[in-house]
Amino acid sequence: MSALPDPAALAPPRAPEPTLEEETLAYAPERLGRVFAALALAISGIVLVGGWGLGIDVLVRLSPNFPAMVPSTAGAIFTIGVALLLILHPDPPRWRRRLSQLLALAVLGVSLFKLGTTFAQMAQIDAHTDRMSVTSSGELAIAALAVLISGCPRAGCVWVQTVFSTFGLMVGVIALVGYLFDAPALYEFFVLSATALHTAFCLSLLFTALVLDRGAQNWIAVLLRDTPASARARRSLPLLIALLIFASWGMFHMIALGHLSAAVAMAILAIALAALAVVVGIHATRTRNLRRAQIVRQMVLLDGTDVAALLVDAEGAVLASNQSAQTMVRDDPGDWLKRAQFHRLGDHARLTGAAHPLRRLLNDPPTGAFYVGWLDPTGAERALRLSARRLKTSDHALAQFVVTVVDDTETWQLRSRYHEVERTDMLREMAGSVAHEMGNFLGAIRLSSDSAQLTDLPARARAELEAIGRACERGGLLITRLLDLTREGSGGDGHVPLAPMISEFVELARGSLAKGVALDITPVPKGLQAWVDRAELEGALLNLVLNASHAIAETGRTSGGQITIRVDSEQGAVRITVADNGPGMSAEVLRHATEPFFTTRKEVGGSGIGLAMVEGFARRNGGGLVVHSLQGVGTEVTMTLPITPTDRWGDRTPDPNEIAADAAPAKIALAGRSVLILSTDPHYALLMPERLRLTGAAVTVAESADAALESAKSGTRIDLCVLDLEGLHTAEWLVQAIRAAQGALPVISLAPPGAPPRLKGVEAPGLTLTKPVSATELNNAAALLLENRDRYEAISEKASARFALGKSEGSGT
Amino acid sequence: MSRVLLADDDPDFRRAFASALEALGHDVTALKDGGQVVATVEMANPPFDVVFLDLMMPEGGGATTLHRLHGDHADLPVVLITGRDELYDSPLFLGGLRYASERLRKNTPLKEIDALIRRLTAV
Repeated sequence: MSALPDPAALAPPRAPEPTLEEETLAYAPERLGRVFAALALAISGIVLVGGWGLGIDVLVRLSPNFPAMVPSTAGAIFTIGVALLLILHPDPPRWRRRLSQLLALAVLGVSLFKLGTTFAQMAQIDAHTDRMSVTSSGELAIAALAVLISGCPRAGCVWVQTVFSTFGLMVGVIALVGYLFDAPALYEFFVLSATALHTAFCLSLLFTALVLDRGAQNWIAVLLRDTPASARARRSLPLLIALLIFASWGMFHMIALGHLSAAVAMAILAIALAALAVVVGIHATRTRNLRRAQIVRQMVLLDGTDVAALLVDAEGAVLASNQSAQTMVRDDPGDWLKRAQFHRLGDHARLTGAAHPLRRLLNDPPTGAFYVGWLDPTGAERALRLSARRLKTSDHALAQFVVTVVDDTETWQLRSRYHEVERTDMLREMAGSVAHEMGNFLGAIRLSSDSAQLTDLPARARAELEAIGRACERGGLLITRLLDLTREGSGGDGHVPLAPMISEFVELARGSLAKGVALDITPVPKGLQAWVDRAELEGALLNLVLNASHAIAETGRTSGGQITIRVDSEQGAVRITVADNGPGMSAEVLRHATEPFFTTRKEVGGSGIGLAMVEGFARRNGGGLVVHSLQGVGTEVTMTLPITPTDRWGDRTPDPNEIAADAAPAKIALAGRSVLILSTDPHYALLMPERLRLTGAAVTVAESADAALESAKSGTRIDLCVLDLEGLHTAEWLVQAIRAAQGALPVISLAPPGAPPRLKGVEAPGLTLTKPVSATELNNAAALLLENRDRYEAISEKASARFALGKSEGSGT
Repeated sequence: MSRVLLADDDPDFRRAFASALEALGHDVTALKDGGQVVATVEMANPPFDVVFLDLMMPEGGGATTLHRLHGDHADLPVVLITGRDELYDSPLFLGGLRYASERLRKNTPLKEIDALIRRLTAV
């Protein structure tokens, strides 16, 4: 019944998976990272092999005045390079991560040891000796730590790694800039002293790679996005760096020449930085405002719809909502989606964790629409249909979704009720076919027992055979009664004497009343009759009496409840009134009382079809239904029914031929038409052709899909195809094949009751009827389809005639 | 005593019907579907006095067979029978009656069937 998938089947959230934003970057950051890491690896490798292994001094220190890259530093840089190459992939396997972590641990140990010994012997160290500098060992330790947390998906780890690597990169760049301006001066600064030029370069490369490792989640992403703003940023970055270096160099130069004091230079630098910050801030605010304006524009559009729409970011925070959403939530929708308690319709299980609607909505790719239950602020259950669509925004800074929420409560309830009604139909169908089998074998038993009695038998055997005959008689009556109860009423079936019928009914109904409710009848005028089906009248009365009884019981009182049935006649009609002293109905409820599926007793199992069915019964029989009610006093329902069948047949007893004609209004439509029936259900395979032949149709019956297709391909024109979908698994294929052979063939599909609507709809033009199908229903459907086909054929013939005419005229000129 | 033709797809009913009517002295021919009815009627010598047709059976149910028979054998009394109580009052059954002499539930006592045959063949 419900379209809800099992929440257990929903995929759990996969945190380490790339977020939506990663996929939209113009460049893959980790690929760039690999290039940087490989460069550092190569340089350190050359120093190790060429410099220290082969003794080429220029490789070790580049210039005789510069400090050397010592073997331990070169080895550590090489190791970190390898570790980075192992993990710089979109999704590295576990063993790579493990290995890189081992390497990083080794580097961490060595560099911390070097750092410790350096500080311990600081006093004895000559700044000019070759050693692993404080900068190198500190930087290598930080790089090793960054590699260690590289695989961790938590936001905290991302932040720490970004800060570590950005810091490391800055220190590396400071050392490089130091070399650029005044290399010997570096020896004066102990922390930087003994840091080789290519060590600083390699460290800068490694940290750049480490920043790029988290490139999708940090400031690198801003640079790499596929947007005009990011492209501008990329273009201006080298210029900016060059400008800064040039400005610094200029300033240093001016200070050295004595044109500028250090304090003034610092002030200029501070003002320049502040101005830059202001410009960036203004620009960012403008971008934000633009986006907000865009959101407002979108929402103005959405305000015009009945559907509640929420603009939601990837985290589920509501950025904007339309009026319908505000009306539905009756509050600020804010983080409604996050905080509201949703449940599964049907069993009311809470939807939490992976089953929470938000998880499903913001999934990528989207999961499609689904239903959830929600208790509105008044506590009423609503059936909400949720769906989400990702917005195609040019700016990928924030993934945005439009979540639409449709309050589908009415449809949902209607559908549930519909299934209840279908179940009833199915039971009726089953009862019908059981009764049929009973009729057949009771007939055989009866005839056998009757003929056995013709022979010379002892008295005792004769008595037993007579008992069998009587049992058959009773069985036959029972079947008739069962079929009366299950039959779809056609109305106007016969005279029902009301006095005995109603007193019998009251006896029957008393057993079903609530405690403390009495049921009485005022004397029924003698000889009064109604021209209806007795079983249907009983059903209608039972409906009214039970409604009254339920209403009284709902007031909570356990005595004094009174239901009265009054029968009288007026102007050729019978009036049967069922009155109660229950709570009555409000004007609002009274207005909807006879609408199908309207009920005030939803919680206690009311289906809302009782009064509507009674009204339908009365109307079908040429009568009507009037409901009077006064809140606090009671309700009175009056059924008007015909006394004689004047409204249908005049004063005559109906002639069987006329009934047949009346029940088959589509006779003309099917006369002379050729109908192909495919049914594997013996009940229908036998009955339906008979029904259709009576209307004058030429009927071909196929018992399998292949046989049906063969008839269609044989070349004889078929006007209508009736497919019984029960037991037919290839309906769609078959319809297509038949239509390929027969052109626009109208198709009537017969679906078993209780089949989900999805299965009923065969992808073909035509009508789907739910079994059991009455002859009238079938004939009406056939008439409708054939008329439609004829009309379109006429149109297309006319069109082709006009086309031919146009062509001949064209050729004439 | 009459010559009776029965067409019914239920073997138990066929057997019970034949043996019961034969016990009463009638001569019964039973067919298992409607396909052979017309040919059997035409070839019968001496001819049948009354035909019983089940409303629904393979190869043409009672109504179809009745229409086929009606053309050349308008005088032959035909009784439509059914075990399906729900069809007894149905338009199909009543419509079929246009050419049939009588309709009958299968669960009818033998006495009544015998009386019906006598009444139909008395003319």
